[in-house]
Amino acid sequence: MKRRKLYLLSFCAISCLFSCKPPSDIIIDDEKEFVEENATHIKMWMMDFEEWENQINISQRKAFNKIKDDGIQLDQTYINKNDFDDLIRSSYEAKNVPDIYMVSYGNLYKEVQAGRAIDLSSYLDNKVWDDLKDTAKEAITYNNKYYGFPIVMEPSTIVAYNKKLLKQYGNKDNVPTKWSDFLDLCKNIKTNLRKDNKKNIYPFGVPTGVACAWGTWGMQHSATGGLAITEDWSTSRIKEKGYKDLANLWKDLYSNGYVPLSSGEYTESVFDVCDGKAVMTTCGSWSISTVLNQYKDIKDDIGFAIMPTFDGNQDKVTATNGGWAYVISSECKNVDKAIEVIKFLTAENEEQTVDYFTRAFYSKASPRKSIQTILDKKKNEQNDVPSSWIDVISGVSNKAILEPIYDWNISVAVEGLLEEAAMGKDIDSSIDKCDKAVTKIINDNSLSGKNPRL
Amino acid sequence: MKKFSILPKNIVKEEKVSGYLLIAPAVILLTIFVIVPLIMAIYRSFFYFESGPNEAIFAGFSNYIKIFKNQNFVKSLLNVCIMTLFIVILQVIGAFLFANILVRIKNRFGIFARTIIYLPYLFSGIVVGCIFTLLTYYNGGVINGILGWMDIEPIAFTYSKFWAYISIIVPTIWIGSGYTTLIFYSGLINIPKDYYEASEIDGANFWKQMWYIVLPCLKNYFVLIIVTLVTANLQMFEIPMLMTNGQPLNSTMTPVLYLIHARANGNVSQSEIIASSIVIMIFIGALNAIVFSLSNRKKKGE
Amino acid sequence: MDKLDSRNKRKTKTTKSRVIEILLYLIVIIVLINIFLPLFFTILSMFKDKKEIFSLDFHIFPHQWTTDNFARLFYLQYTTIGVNFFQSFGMTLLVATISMVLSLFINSIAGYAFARLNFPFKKIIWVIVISTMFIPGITILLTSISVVSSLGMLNTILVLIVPGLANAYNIFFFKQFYLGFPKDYDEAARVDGCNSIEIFFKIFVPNSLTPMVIMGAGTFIGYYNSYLWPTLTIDKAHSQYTQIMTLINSLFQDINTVGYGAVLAASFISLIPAIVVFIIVQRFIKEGISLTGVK
Repeated sequence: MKRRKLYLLSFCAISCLFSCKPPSDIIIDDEKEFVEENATHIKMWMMDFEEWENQINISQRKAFNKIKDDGIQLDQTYINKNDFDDLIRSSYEAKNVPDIYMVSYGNLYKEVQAGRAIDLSSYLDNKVWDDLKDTAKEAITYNNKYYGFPIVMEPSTIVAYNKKLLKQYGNKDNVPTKWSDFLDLCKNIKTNLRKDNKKNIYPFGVPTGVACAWGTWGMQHSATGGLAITEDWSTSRIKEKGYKDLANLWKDLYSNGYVPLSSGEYTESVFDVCDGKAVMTTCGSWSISTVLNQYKDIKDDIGFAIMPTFDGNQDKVTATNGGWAYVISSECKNVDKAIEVIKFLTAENEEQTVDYFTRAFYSKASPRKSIQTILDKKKNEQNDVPSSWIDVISGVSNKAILEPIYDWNISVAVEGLLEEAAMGKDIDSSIDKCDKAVTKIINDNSLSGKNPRL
Repeated sequence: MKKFSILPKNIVKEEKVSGYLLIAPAVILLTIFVIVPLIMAIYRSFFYFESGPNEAIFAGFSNYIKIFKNQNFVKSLLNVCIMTLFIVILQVIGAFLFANILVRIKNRFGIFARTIIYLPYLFSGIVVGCIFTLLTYYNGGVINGILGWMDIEPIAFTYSKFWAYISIIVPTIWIGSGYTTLIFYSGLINIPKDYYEASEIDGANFWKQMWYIVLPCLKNYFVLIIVTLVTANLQMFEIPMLMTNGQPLNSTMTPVLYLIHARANGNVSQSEIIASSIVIMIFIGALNAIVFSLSNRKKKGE
Repeated sequence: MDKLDSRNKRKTKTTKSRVIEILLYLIVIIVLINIFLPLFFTILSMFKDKKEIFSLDFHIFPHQWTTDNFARLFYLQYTTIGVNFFQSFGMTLLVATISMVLSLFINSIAGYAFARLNFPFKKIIWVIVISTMFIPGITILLTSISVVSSLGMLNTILVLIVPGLANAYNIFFFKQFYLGFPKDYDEAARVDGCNSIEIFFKIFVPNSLTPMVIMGAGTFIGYYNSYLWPTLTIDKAHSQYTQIMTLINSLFQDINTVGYGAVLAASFISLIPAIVVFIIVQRFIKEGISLTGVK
């Protein structure tokens, strides 16, 4: 009897679960993809971004496969960002390489050095290459050859803030331009939050963990006028005064409780601002599309601003331009067909590319001049994205430098410096330690004079 | 007919044939998937494979020297030693005491308790990591939520070294201690009753019984448990990966996790990774040898 | 006088022992609560809404009970994770079951041969076999991948099953068990004219339920819970072979997209086989531990 009841109960529970409807943000796309017979299959590895961005890429693929009689069938695989480099490398070892894959500008040099990305210069018209913005062109050029086709440019450090909370607790409408003013504001907010007994809300958020290594490049540049090593890769710049300022800033932010001691992924930091867990936060330009996709109804409460600097001058570099390029692998057997895919997705097709950027809510800049002109025109005709946001993005993006391509461990060393400062360790000794580590990396890999961009 | 044909002489031959036949699958599989990879690993650790897998350059011990100069790897070995020390001590003592309690509860509740404590041992580190992250999450996790009710500052489990260690040690003990308790329990009930009765006649109290009967009788249990725990915990990576992922400042990085990261990032060469994995093997072997020799010395002393 | 004194003594002793008894019960109850507490919070939180789980005002019970998180798992193949959760779940169970059966077969016959049969070089082979027990998995991880890749097993179901089948610990366990079998058994069978293999299947197998259950459960759980090996040997393009732990970890890494509730729901579902195994095994566990060779 008892047992029968149990069965009945579990049956009910299971059938209850099976009858549930899909959550609203999952789009069930049952549209059959057009499959071309006897077509060459082009295998493509895509970075697994947020859901909405992947959906754009998927619909682009479907549009491509709809074209009949081109003899190409496009297959895509979406791969977690943490595993991407590893999987690409092991795929070369296993001789199971995708024809086309995505590489970040920072990692492209590694692919070129290893001979894994092929030279695309001759496969596309000069007209196409000339259409690229200078920074975008620089990102893919090594030895005067073009090793990939840039897809997007996105500045990786801006400030997002919750207008309501900023007004309520900081009594301000805008984010200050100078770090010293910014810290005062944080102090103000913190005391007001204490008064209200809101312990879970923080005035600010900064990149942590691995993101602290790449998310702070822009801040490093605005503080010191350069990055961790000199342009010719010969000496460490950690002893520059700017790095000490930056470390002190980190110490202030953490020791006063302006930032949470532990936080989630940097790429999703804007969630905290939208959920009301943080008043302001550092984030990347992609956050704009996150807000418009997932928090559409509160978009008027969210603002974006340029990162503060130590001297209050925001007309200099405050961010790096991150982004991705499609490369064709050296193992690809049908380069002609693969190039057709790249042409369709981003290099030549105007309609698809414009569609991509509009659906991304103008949160990214196009590397192609012609597309950017169209986008600039379209921006003024739409109401989805507040124009102030777009102005911030394009302002930052135009001044931003490219992501550095030197040894990743150098950035990790800087991350260590900032984290030690955050934990309240002695800054001078941390700087010494970091300087030694960076110098060691330069010497061990004999980096001096090897910058391919010079 | 066949029945009569088997004579003692044939039995020897028959055992030979069927003996080899029966061990063949296991031995072949172990050779292909354990012994061959081990030999390959030892071989590769002495070579450079910079210019592709087909061009090996003899490297001598330089791969090994490199990894001992690699601060992150040495630090990860140290970290895992500290964590293992705490886990083993806490788990062994806790499980031993709890087994002693369970022995004294002989009713249905006792049976229920010693059945149920074994359950988490079957759970994977990945799932346990997911579940405990719910508790230790900084802004909104269960522990900090409850602390928030009491107006206590939230704990940042990935910011301070101490709490990071706690957030790894507690789930690991949560998984393993039930099984350890059961092993101790089966040891305790196997101690002959006469020992206790004899000592009671001699007027021994509880503590004396513990010291002169229980501990010597369970000595082999202790050695076995310590060796298994040390071996398992020196190789742990799933819980650290999910709970802290090496934060803060690599102080909860374990060697295996370090190797997985190094492999994924590709900034450490394959031969170095293999060399460090051999170092891990030697390290575990050495620690186990120490435990064994300590336990043997004690025997001589008695 | 004397009598009274002793009675008093006994009385105090009983009250004292009663206090101790209550204390012991209390400790046991606290330990049991600690075992269930994480599971308790998991079960409650997986019915919370995506945004409610880590919300600012913490509360234990969901404000609004929802099965949204389970629905997310049902429709996982439509997101870019691209893996059908229940297909992956089923595949993992299938792999674990096949491996369990094969592994029991291979290891029990080897354990029997080492325990009861005489053949040349037995001791040397045994030492080699048993020494493989002390090789940590991480040491041979990378080279094992080279081996399976040169055998052409990468991205097939074979790579999930075959490499872990033979296991020195299991062989040791079976050997230990079969050594304890009375000699008369197989002698009687020999007289009947059975050869060694027949003896094993006719006499040893029917009498080895306990080690079969214990080792079977261990192997099943080992395969079911394995994470690193399936992750490194099955790539994204072969998502039909994705094992459940790999999937849960990738959900965990993608936490803001799927939501933490879905991760908890997946974790909870993945615990069910472990709990079933637990229910089957618990009758045998005591006997099993005394077999593990602690002496």
